[in-house]
Amino acid sequence: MGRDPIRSELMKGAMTYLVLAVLREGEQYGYQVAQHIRERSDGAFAPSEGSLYPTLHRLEADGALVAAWREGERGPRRRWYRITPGGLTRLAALEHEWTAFTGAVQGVATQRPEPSGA
Amino acid sequence: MPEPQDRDAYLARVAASLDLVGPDAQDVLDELSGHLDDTTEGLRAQGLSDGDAERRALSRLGDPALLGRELSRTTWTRRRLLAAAGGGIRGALIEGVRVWLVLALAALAVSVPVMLVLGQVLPMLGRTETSHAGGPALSALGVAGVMAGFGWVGHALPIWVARSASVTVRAVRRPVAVIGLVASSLFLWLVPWLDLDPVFAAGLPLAPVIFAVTAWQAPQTPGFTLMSRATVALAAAGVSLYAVAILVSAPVAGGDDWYADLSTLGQTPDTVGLADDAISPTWNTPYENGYASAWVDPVPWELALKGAVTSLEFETWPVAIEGGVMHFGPEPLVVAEVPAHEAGTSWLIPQRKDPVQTTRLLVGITPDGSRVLLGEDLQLTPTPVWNGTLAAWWFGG
Repeated sequence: MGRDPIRSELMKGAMTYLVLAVLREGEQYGYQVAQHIRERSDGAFAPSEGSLYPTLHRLEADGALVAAWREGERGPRRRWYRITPGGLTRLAALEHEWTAFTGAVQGVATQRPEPSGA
Repeated sequence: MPEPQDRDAYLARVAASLDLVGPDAQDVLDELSGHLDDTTEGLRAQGLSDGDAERRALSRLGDPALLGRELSRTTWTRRRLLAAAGGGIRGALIEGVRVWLVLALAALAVSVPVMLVLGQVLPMLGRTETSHAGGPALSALGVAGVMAGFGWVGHALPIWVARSASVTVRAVRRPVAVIGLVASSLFLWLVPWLDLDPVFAAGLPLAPVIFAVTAWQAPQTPGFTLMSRATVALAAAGVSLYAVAILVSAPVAGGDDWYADLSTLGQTPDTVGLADDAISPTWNTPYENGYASAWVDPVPWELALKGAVTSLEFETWPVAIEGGVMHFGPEPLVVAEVPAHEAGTSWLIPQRKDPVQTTRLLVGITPDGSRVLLGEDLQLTPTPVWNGTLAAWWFGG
């Protein structure tokens, strides 16, 4: 929907990491997760909400999240997600990978070749 | 397909692409509906009109068919896989037993009157009424029954699996078809030891293919019921074809009168100075567990034969009766020597893929190698039915 394709691809790869990172702070339902990602990135990461729910369900199937229905104070029930110890372990691994990856990308992109023949 | 403009149409498109059914599917739709509520409300708070807010909220969720398919990929949790496997095993057992029972009952219901009619019609046509009730016609009927059974199980099994896992039949019918084809083929080819003839050996491997075809096209609910007129009609058609085959192939009455010329198989006892009843054989027929056996009297036979014959053997010959004459094959199927001082022996009759009728001779061998016919049992006895696995039939071993 007019979204930058490069950003969209990056988002797809980062979605699991972002979802787990947001849910580390406490139980939330899908809309809240999307809002938190959007707000904390100042709108830079506007998750495709269509890919958010498959990610949440996949993480639940993998045991990284548990979900429970709960009636809202107003309006219909919502499905709340909570991170599990297994999810925290996975998040730690993703953080490590992500740091190494971004560090490497940064290194390649910023390093200028030494002038030769001086 | 154009983007749906309202929430109900959008959720219907998601539901159409979901593999889930029942409460599980409703949970997914409720979750998306709640998300749309929240998003719409948030956008309205930013100043959008009701219509624009809902359209923007739907747009953010993206293509509903794609969303349904993506959500379906997360359907197969370990618990659901186990439920599907359990439903598959249970369904295969229950439907397998049901279909064989129903087919057997239906076949019995129509075969009794058909056989009674045949019993009256065949003698009127001058044909024997019993001898061709088996053979290829019966094998073809059996193969048709097996194929019908596999076809029914293929039709019903995806529904069992889908219900156990709370998913659509569409989501499971292809895996069920492929897994069933491979598993039932492996089983049929390698496990059961079957009495086989060429019709069974050629037809049986097709049954898993019939299973796969019907499973691949299984509907969301059964297309027809097992206990139905269609089943009885199917059985009636099968038994009727069988009856026609018997009518066509039944031999003309009086075919049991034949003549056997044994003169080419050995000389008579008097040519070596023995009486016709110098030795009396006793034959054990039909064959038991593939073995023939026979005895001689008196014992020891060497004394009775006075040295005119130095060895004694039971020979089993393949024969065919054509034009009222018994024709012997080029050589005996089995030659079993009677040990010295022994009363008799038993010998294995080989299984053949093309069964033949056999008769038995007692032959004495003189010191100069001549053959003397000392006795015969000309009762026609077929070679044992070929028994083994399908793999052994087609590939040996």
